[in-house]
Amino acid sequence: MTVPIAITPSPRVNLPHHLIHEGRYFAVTTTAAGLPAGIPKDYMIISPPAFISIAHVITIVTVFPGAKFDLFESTVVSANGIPLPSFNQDRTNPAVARGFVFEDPIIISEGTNIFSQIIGSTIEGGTGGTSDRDEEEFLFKPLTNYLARIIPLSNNTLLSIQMRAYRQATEQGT
Amino acid sequence: MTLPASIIANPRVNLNHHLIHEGNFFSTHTISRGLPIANPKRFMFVSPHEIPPPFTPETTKVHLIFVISCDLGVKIEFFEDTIVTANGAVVPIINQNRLSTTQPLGQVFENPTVFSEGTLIFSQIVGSTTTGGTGGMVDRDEQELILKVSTEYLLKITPLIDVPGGTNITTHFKGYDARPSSPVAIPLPGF
Repeated sequence: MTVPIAITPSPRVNLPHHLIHEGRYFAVTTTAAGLPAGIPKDYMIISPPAFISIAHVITIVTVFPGAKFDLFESTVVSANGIPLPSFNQDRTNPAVARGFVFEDPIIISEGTNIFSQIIGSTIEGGTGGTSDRDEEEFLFKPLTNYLARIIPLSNNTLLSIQMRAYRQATEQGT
Repeated sequence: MTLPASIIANPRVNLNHHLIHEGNFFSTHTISRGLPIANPKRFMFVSPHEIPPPFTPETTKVHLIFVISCDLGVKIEFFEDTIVTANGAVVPIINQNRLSTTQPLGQVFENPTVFSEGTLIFSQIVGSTTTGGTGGMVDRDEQELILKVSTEYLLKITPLIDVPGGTNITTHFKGYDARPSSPVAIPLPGF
């Protein structure tokens, strides 16, 4: 098939990629090694207030060997844990993330389970989580604690986790 | 294939593919063999230091991803604002449009001598002590980084285990910029 000469290129970008270019896409990445079987490894996301923005979040979890992954909403904690830095994917843009991520919070109540998955097995690893933006993205409630909990199925588990979010500005926000 | 006359062809192309056509998409490909834990593989990416006219800081920003494949597990770390005492060996950068004479604005070096790693902005474990895999910023739509100009970035790849013969890795950098190299000025939204 020959394309008519009148057709000119019309390059397109998907929305998440566009928001990288707009400087409104942020990511937290971290790793952990030697995790014991059955002991939860926890990360908490505190979403930004509604008057600023709504966070569109995916979480990508890679483990070896396998693990159970759960995402909880409205988690109650007695301590936030260790803050993890988030980075604007546009390193030239000074905008900062309006939400926060913490490692190893002290949990009082997990909250409501909104996603659950077993990744891999006791001998094999894999990648999972809410990793498919088109089908699994969550729009987080404003000013709410979310708990990403990984429970290894075997000892000495390796973990990589990526929490990736873009924000839609509200009238007052950026 | 012949389309019925009533169907009008409307081919679409993603932006990164479009920039291959425009001659503004560049890549490197490096194989590293026999890596031990004690000697991580390091690459330095130097973003453009000079902005030759008529380009602007906006059009010379590098939009970068990197992809690492390994036959045994590795830990990947990407740092910003690295300081080195020696750049290391130059890694050739290839224009994906082999007809284009456009030169890349950034530079890639292998085995720099690192004085200070800088700020860790990405980390990931790929594979395990018994299996390999592919990782890095494999999904451009979600993971592309737009780099600061005049900045050194360090990619550090550390094997998870020592084995006879070491760990073998392949490293690809893939980046584009928004220089107006096309003979037809096409507005590019978003940057």
